[in-house]
Amino acid sequence: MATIEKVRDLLERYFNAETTLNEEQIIRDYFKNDSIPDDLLIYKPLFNCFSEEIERLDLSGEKLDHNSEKLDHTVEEVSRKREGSPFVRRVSFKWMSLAAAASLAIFTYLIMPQKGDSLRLVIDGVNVNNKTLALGKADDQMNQINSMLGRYRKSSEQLESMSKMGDALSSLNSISRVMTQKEESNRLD
Amino acid sequence: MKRLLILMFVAIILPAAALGQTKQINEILDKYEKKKSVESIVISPSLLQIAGTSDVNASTKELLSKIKELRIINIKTSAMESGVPLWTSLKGELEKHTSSDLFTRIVRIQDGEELLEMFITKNTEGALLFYTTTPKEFSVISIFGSIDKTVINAAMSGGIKIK
Repeated sequence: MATIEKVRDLLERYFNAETTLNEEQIIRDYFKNDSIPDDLLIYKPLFNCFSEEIERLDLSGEKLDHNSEKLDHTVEEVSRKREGSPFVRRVSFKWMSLAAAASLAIFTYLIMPQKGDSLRLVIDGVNVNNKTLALGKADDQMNQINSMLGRYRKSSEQLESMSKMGDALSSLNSISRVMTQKEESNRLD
Repeated sequence: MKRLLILMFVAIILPAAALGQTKQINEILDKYEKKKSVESIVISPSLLQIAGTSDVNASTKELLSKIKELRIINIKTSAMESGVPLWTSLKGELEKHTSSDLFTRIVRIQDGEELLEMFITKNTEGALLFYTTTPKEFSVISIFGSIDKTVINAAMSGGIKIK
């Protein structure tokens, strides 16, 4: 705390514009004090005003600093986001490829002919969800074909045996032909 | 060079045409299964079995692996559409394909009022079709897949059955 004599001296130098910034600060600090001699009270508003102004400026400086900090933070965030964007892009590509693969699988499942244990029964244009009925009807149809083919097989077997009989008869015919020829030659002799 | 081109043409175009025929037959069956008085059954090979084999051995598995699908369409002969019996319309549409050069009729059995006809695609990858006509109903039994000698023999001997 500056003494009163020093302050009077500094004030004289202040009005002569000879003080340094530090000396002016000493004067302002002095006038913040409540115990000021009456003859110097007239200067109090002046230096306090300066002090308040400086304080306000300091505060705005702080605010500015705060704002700049905020700005820096935002810039940092933005840059971090910018740095992270390839990752985000990579992740989205990964999901996109997965989604594409899934949709392709569904598409293939829907479009390609069904494989595996599939069964469909449609009666009068309506899907009937009855496996036993479907298999029973299919079995009836297959049996009908198999029975007709069975008759065909019997006929073909009969034809085969007939042709075998024909073969056997043809050899008998050739024997009888040879015998007939011999009889004729004997007759001629 | 010309021969090579012809061979390439035969190798590429004929299987494609046969597959096209199979697709068209499937489309016809799809169309008719939506109609009234029509029954349609589609069965995957896992629900089929080969007669005489209680267990699934390697040869049965191999035979069934050649079959992609068995499809049956059954129409009552009394069913009419626009004054025309529905079964004749279906048979007419199918015969447009089965009477083409890509199919061969291998069996025709007429037994009284019952008629059985069997067609196969000339190409192995295709279809085997049975048409059965009785006074009560007309049925189409189609087997799609790799229709080679073993499948034809199994079908002819009544070997393909439902489980």
